[in-house]
Amino acid sequence: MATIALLGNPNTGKTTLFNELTDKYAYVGNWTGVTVEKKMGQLTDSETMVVDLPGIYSLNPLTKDEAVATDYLLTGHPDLILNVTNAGQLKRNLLLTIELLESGIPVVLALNMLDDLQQSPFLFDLPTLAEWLHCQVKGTNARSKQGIAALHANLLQSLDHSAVSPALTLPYPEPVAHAIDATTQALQATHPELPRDFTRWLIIQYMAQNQTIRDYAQRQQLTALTHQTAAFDQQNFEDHIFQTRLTFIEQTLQAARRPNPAMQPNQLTQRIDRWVTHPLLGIPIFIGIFWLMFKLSFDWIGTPASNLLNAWLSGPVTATANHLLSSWGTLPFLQSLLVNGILDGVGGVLTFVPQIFVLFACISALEDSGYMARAALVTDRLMQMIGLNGKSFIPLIIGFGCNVTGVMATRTIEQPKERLVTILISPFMSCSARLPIYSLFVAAFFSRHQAVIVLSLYFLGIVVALVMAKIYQLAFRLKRSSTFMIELPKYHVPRLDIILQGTWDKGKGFVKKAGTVIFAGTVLIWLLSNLSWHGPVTDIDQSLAATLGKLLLPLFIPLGVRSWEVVSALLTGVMAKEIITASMIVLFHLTGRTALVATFSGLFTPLSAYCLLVFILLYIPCFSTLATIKAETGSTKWMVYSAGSSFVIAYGLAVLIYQVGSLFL
Amino acid sequence: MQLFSQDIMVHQLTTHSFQQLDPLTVRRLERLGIRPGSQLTVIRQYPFHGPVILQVDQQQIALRYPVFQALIGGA
Amino acid sequence: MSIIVSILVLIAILIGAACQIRRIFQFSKHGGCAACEYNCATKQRLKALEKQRR
Repeated sequence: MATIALLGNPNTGKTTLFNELTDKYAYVGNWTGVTVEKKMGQLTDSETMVVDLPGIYSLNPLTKDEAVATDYLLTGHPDLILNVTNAGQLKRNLLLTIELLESGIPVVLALNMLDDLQQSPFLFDLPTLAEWLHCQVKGTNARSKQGIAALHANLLQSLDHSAVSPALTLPYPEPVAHAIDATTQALQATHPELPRDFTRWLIIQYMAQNQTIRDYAQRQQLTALTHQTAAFDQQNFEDHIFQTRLTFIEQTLQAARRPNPAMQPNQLTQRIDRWVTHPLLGIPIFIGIFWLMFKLSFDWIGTPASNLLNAWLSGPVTATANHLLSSWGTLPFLQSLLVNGILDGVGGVLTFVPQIFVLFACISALEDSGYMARAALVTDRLMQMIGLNGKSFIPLIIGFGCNVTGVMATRTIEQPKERLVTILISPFMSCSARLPIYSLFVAAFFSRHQAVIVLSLYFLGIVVALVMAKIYQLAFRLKRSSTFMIELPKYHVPRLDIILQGTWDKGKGFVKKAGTVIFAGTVLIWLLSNLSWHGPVTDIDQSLAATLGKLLLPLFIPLGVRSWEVVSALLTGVMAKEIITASMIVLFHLTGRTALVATFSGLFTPLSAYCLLVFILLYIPCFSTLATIKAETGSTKWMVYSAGSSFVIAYGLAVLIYQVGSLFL
Repeated sequence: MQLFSQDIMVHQLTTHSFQQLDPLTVRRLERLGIRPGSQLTVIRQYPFHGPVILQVDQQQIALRYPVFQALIGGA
Repeated sequence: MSIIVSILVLIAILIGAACQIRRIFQFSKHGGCAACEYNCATKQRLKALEKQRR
C-alpha cells in the first residue's frame, strides 16, 4: 500500500488540503499548532494512504509535535512527500522543502493559499520553480478547492512513476561538501544497506545539529558519523549549510519571480487588526467576543432550541414509550430502567446538544477566521506575568472543547516543565461536558443572567488555572520565559462548511458519549438507586446510592449541599462529567429537566447552587482526561496528583465562596 | 554600540546581530524568517514593554519585548 | 413470553453497560486519543480493501 506524507510549515493549510484529498474529515484551524499527532486518511478513489503530520519549520525539531514529523520520515518510509507551502511566504517555506528534497524521497510541491499570493506584487512561474527544485510543482487553494483535482491526479501519477529525478544536491562550500562525500563513502562501507541519497541526507542533517538524527545515529551505531560530531560542530557546518540553502532559495525565487499585473491588495486584515489587537481595546474585545458566544448559546439560540427538544422528549416521547412498553407487558423493573433510567437520563443530557453545538460553531468560526492567534497575543501579557509561554494559551482554549485534546495540544510547548505545568492546569478549563449541568442550574436559579453566570464560570476556570500556573512556576523554579513568538495569519472569512464540520467534529464526541459512557453511567446509577445490599428496593432512601451519598454528605455540607442525591451524582461524574446531569435526573426520579428545575429550588439557594457549579468545574478530571495526562506525562504519579490536587482546590474554593457568601447573602 | 539602523519616521529596522539571544531563540527566529540583516517593520508596540508586532516578508509575527529589544540591540 | 424477552433485554442492557464501564477504565490504551482511534480505523479499512483486491 502506497503512502503519501503531508509535510509543511505550520498554518499553510495542510489539514484543509488533507480533507480535500481524502474522504475523511480532520480538525482544521487558522492558527499554528492545530495538528499535534499524525493523522491518516485514504486518498479519494484510491488505495493510497495520506498521512497528515504536524506543521514544522525544519526537520530539526524543537518541540514534541515537530519530532513526530521527523520520526515519521525516519521510520514511516513514505513513497511520496506532498510538501504544502504558503505561496505568499515561499522564501521561508522553501527551507523545509530543501531538506525534504535532499532526502531522495520523491516530492510534489503544492503552492497553497494562492489567494494570498494574488494580493502581493509578485507571482511565481511554476515551471521555473520545478526546474530549479527538480520536483513537481502545483498551485492550489485548498479553501476554494482550486487545483485540488489536478493535484490529486498528479499524486497518483507520481506514485505510478516512482523512478523520479534524483535528490536535490546543493553546492555546499568546499569543507562541507568534502566532509559529506568522505562520510558518505565511510558510511556506505560500513552500512551498505542504506540508500545513497538517504545516507547523504542523514549526514547533512547530522551536520546541521538535528538532535533527532543524532539520536538515531547513536541508536544505529553509525560511528562514521558519531565520531565526527566535534569536528563538524567546530567548523560551524550548521551555519554554512543554512547560508547555502538561503542563497539557493533567493536565487530560485529570483529566477521564478514575475510581476503581478492584477495585484489585488486586501486591507481586511489591517482593518480588523486596527481594533482587535489594539493595546487598550484588545482585552475588552476578547471578553466581548466570548460574552457574545455565551449569549448566543444560552440566551438567544441554544436554550430556546434546547427547551423545545426537552418538551418533546419529556412529553410525547416518554408517554409513547410508557404506553408501548405497558402494552407489550414488559416487566415493571425493565420499564422503569428503560423510561426512568435510560430515556430520562440519556435523553435529558441530549437535550443540551443545541447549547453545545452553538458554542462549538462559535469557537469553530473564531478558529477558522484567524482570531485565535490574536487572542493569544492580547492575553500574552497575563501569561507573561504568571511566567508561562504564550503558546500555553492555545491548549487552554482547545480545552474548552474537550480537556483530552487540550492536554494533547500541549505538545507544541518546547520546555518540558512548562509543558507539564500546562498539562496540569488544562483540566481547569471548562469543557463541553460540564455545560449541561451549568445550563440546568442557571435555568433554575439565574434565569435572567444565564450567559453572564456561565461566562463567570469559564473565566473562573481560567483564573484558577493561571493562579495554579504561578504556584507551579515558583514550586518548579521555572525560569521566566521570554520565548513567545506567534504568527498572525491573514484573516479569512469563515467558510460555512468548515464551521459546520468543525462543530460536528467537536460535538460528535458528546453525541457519541450519549450511547456509550452516559448510557453506562445512567444504567449504573439506576441500578444503585434501585438495589440495596439485600436486593431490589422500592424506597430509594434505602438504596445503595443513598447509603453512599449519605455517608459522604457531611463532607459536602460546608459548601451548601443538603441532599445525598447530589453527592451520588458527583461520584458518578468522575467517569464523565455529563453523567452528573443524567444521574441527577435518575436520582430525583423525575421526567426531564422542567421538573428537576422545580425540585432544585427547594434544595438550593442561588449561592449554594453557584458553589456546586464551581465545585463541578474544578473537581477531579474525567477518566479520559486522567488517562491522557498519564499518557502525555508518562507517569501515574502526575495523574494521581492531578486528581487529588483538583479535588482539594475545588473543595477549598467552593467552601470559601459559600462561607464568605453566606455572611452577605 | 549601534546594532541597528532605523529609518526616519517609519518603523523600519534592520537587525544586525543576535549575540544577546540564546541559541534556541535564534533558531526559532530564523525559522520565522528573522535573521541578522532582516528588514523588519514594526506594526504595533504595546505599552509598558508588552509584545511587539513585526512584519517580515509579508508575514506578521508577534514576540515579547525582551526578544525585540535584543533584536534591535538594546539590553 | 414477555417475561423471558424482558429478562433477555435487561441482561443485554446490563452487559452493554458493563462493557462500556470496562472501556472507560481501559482508556489508557489510546490515552483517550481520538487521532489514534481514527488512525486505527483508517488502517483497518485500507487493509480490508487490499485483501478484497487480492
